[in-house]
Amino acid sequence: MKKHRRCHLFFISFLLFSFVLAFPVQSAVELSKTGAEYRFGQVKALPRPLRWRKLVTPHFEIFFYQGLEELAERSARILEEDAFERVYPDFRNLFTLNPYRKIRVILFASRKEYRNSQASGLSLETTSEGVAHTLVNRLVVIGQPTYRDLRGVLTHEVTHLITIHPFKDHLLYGSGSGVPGWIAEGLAEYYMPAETRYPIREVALRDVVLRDKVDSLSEISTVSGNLHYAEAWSLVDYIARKYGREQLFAMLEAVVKEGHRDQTFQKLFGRTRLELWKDWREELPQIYQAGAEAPPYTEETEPLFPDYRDQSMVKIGPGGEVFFLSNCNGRLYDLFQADGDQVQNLTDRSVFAYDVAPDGRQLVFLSDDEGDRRLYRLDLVSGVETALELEVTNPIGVAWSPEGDRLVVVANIKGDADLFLIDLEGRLLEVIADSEADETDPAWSPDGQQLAFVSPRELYDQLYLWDGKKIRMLTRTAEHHRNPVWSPTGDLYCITGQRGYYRMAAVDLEYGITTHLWPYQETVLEFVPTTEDFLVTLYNDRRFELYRYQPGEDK
Amino acid sequence: MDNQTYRWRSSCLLLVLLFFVVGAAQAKADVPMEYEEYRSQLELEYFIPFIMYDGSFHAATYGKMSSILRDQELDFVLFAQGEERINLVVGYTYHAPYWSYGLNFYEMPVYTGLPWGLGFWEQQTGISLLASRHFTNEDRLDLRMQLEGFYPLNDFRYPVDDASLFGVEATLTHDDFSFLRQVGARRYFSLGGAYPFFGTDYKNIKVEGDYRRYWSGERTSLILSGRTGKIWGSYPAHRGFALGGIQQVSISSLGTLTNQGLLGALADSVLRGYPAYRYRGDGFVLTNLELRFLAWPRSYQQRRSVAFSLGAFADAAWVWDGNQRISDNPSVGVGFGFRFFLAGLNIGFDYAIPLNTEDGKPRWHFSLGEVF
Repeated sequence: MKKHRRCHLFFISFLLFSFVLAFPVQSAVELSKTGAEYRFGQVKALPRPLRWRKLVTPHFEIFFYQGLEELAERSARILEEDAFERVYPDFRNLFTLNPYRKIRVILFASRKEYRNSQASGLSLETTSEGVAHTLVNRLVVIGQPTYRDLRGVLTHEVTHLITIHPFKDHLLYGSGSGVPGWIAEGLAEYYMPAETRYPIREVALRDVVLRDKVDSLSEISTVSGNLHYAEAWSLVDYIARKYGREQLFAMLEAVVKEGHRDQTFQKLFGRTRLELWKDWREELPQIYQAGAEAPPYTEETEPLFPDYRDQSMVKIGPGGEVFFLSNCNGRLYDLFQADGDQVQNLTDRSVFAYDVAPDGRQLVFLSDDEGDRRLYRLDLVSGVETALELEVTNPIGVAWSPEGDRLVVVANIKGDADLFLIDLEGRLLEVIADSEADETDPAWSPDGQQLAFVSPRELYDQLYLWDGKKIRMLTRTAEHHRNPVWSPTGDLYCITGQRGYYRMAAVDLEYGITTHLWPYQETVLEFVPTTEDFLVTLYNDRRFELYRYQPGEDK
Repeated sequence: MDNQTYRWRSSCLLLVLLFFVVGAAQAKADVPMEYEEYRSQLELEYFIPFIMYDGSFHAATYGKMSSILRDQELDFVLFAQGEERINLVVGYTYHAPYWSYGLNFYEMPVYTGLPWGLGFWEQQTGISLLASRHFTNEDRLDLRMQLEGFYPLNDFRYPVDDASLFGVEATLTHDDFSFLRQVGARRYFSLGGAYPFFGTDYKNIKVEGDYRRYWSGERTSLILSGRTGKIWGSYPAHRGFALGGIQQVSISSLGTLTNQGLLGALADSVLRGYPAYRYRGDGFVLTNLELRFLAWPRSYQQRRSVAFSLGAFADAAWVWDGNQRISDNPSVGVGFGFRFFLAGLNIGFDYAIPLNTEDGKPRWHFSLGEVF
């Protein structure tokens, strides 16, 4: 009996050990994932059969399926010419074998297929854009809507593999500490090209700096949202600037081999972890000074729809109805229509972009629920949804023309976002812009004569205007110009700023000169001019909140 | 400049130009790329040995092989216990576009019953074939064929068989329940049977159904659950339906991994106010009604990784053994409870009073995970 008890104890310990180990490496513990082991639970159901092929380059094997041929080639060039060369030289000494063992990269066309694949190893609720399986030297990535995002995500995930995979034995067999989240994610963000880092992350960082609520190292290491990624990046960036970029390699190696403890950091930098954290925190207010002295807007104003978390892509219908996307149901995203206080979900499908018809009776939206990204038309009166067959594939954005007879579709066919004019049957009428850079955020002028859109020029996003024949660059100053919108009277606005502080601004249509309209402290994420005021989406204490703003009411 | 010098200089210039042109061309050359067809083959993902010595050696390994896209997976657990026995579990899965197929072989001691000391260890040896048609993320059909032998490794307060069985089972499941939002529905209908092939011991038909519906307001949720099951024919004494307390058999360690539950009651059952295994029979009807109030945070929309909720409930069950009803008509338990949700773990404590029973003593019940 005693022997049995010992055996049970040992066995339970082993099981616990296996479970604990299995979760971090994203592996399932069940022996067969047919779903049949459990009465309940959702299963991964791929919406369509995928025919896989492989593209082999000197350092990578890229796995892709039908429709992703050009994306695979573009990814290969990013990985070889940009990402690998950016990261590997700094960590070359971690590798005893040269040339480096090939990294497996698995590409998916959409979030739906990424989540539903066994390859990602993630839950159906994942909101990640990619995942690095550091034990097996494999990364799984969603084909991003834009070239910039693809470049950023690939570089981020490749950094994880190059920096952590060499320590896999330490991680697997516990002979040393793991890599804490703030270092793992901080390095991955640090090596991303600056313009590819998600702007919202630095917005979140600026917000906590102004509130003096910067997270501790252990909080950052949980890496549970945009803020933690930004904090991790900022701290690693601080270390690189202050102690030299070569110290990042030394820090990583020392932390894995000697532990994430004060002695390790004292030996490297002469500072304990807390001292290092304090040094970094003291520098942050100098970096994020812009707007710090401005009055806060959210303290005395109530947000609209507070129960619908993280509203984005807000639009106004002709009758004043407010449309928006929200992740309040735990997915990216649900589409809502608010008429006064009445808010209703318009479709069961997840939606990532949409636009309302000028007469307000229909809308078009984009969803990847059936595998690849597709355009649907929704009749707002009858509720009937119809899939629209497009002559361009992989749509990622849409704008309905004021005349109601055409759509501008943003589509990523060759690895970057381009603009196409199509009719309401999905036929291609004209290619508006298809350079090697991204062209995004199309916005029609109210008379339908001009189309504003965004494209990067060097490090900054700039506005362009298309008049039906030619394109001209409108803005030129050294800051980002994003989210162009037109007022009903034909004035053009956009979001401008950098370093996490973005404001709405009026744009002079002749010279592109911008005039800031937002005198408050909060960052404006998006806004829509109405006939009387503005609807502004503000970043406020880790939330996206929608407010009404009347410029005359400035406090 | 004479012609020869001119020609020589021109040649040099040409060479230099050629050098730069070729160099530039090389520098701008595309990344060499080569297309290949994908061939699925198993590779080792990880292999973890674990050894302990306490007078005799115990050794265990846990490992996983998979193909690059994980369309094939092979998991194994090997557990050697002194010189007495080598225990092994091997599971292979193949994922086709709409179907997944599984083949499992196992010989392993399995803890059966509640994980906190109210169960027993059973040695199981078996093989199972599985197929699962995934219609959507929420809907599936599971098919299973299983041959299994089992015997108890320690005493249990109720009879435990030393026998074998062969059976098949088909289960239709729908699950669109969102744990964080507390909305949606879960239901399954299962039809199975055992037949004495290969010298096995039982012959029966079993039907089981479960329906759970969640309605949620801003910070309150109402849950209605109904379960029923019936077995006609002979079945293992310890694999009938057991009600009483919170029977969380579905988290009983390896039990769910080794497909132990064929033709036994696997899903959780909840009859609070009664001791574990209070009623054991071949047929039952169970209903639960529970009202939950989210104390923190202030709405389900804000629920993330930490939450605390309170609840009031009423459970009612009818249990039969053959033609005889062995429960009250019905056996009812009422009470209140609270749940902590922390870092993905749902921990519950319920205080329940049994009604219309001789032993009217209230009880505390502990649960781990989302029981229903």
